[in-house]
Amino acid sequence: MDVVVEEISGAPAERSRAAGESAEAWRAMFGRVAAGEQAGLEALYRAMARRIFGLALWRTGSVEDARDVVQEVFVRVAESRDRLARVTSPLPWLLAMAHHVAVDVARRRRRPSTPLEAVPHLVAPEREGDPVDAARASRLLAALPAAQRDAIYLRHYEECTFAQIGAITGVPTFTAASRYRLGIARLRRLMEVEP
Amino acid sequence: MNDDRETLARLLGGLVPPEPPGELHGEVMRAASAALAREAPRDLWTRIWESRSLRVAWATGVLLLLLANALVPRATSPSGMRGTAPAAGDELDSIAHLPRIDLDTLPAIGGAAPSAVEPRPVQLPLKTKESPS
Repeated sequence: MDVVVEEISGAPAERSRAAGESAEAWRAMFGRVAAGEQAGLEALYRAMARRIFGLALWRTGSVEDARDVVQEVFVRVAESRDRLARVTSPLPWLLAMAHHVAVDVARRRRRPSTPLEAVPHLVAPEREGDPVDAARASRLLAALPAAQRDAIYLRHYEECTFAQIGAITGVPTFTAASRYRLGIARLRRLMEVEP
Repeated sequence: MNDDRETLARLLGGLVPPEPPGELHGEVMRAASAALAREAPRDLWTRIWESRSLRVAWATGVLLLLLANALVPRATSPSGMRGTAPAAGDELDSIAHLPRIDLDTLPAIGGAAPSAVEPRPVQLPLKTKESPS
């Protein structure tokens, strides 16, 4: 809880991959895309596709929609290449774009979505995790509101600060922290019911 | 906070979000490359600035508006109802100055109209017994 308070009050975050993850490397990658290099796009795909896909899947609850989101984000990046040089925080910028596109796609969804419990929010890496655990975690995550899932994803997998989560999802920092904590509390209750 | 981490570690430990489907790479690269090859869409102001004819049209329009603002006479009507046709003005005047029906009564605002004059006591005719004579 202290960490949450410190972060909300503006104290340095204890960890932030989204902010500090080799910003120079990101800017270099953006520079190559801005210069129209195909190899720059390839590098960006390798670095971001999985993360955008995961965020979109957690938001939309549909593999098909998540695919659309990944494609739309890369097309938008290519179209806005003139502005890439002015982006100061590339990773949060990309995640924010992915979030907005995912919200749009989910809103105008035409196809019947699969039941949220059946969506593979998480998978077990080979020989490391248990597929049964992955299915159970996915089922429990499906019971959360999308906004709380977003906060947990960005915090746990992208290691964003609450300020960054707020900026990415377009809510105040306190709201982002609140969503995260409510999501965790709900997960805990669900785990007690379904141990 | 430690509880939060413990909860997440118990639930999400060793699990990761799924990889995007393999064929998505080709689709995304094709679409993004096509977008990269296209000329970047320019916004309205850039297009106006870069086109000579649009620049001239825009400047002419602004000039005409300024001239119209400076040259159109303003003091044509003293009543402040400029733009209203004279006939309509007369009609409005006639409505605004309706003749009072009862000059002794004040206008009613939100209730019964108070009378401007003291109510006169009703004088009932006194019946006098006529003596049968």
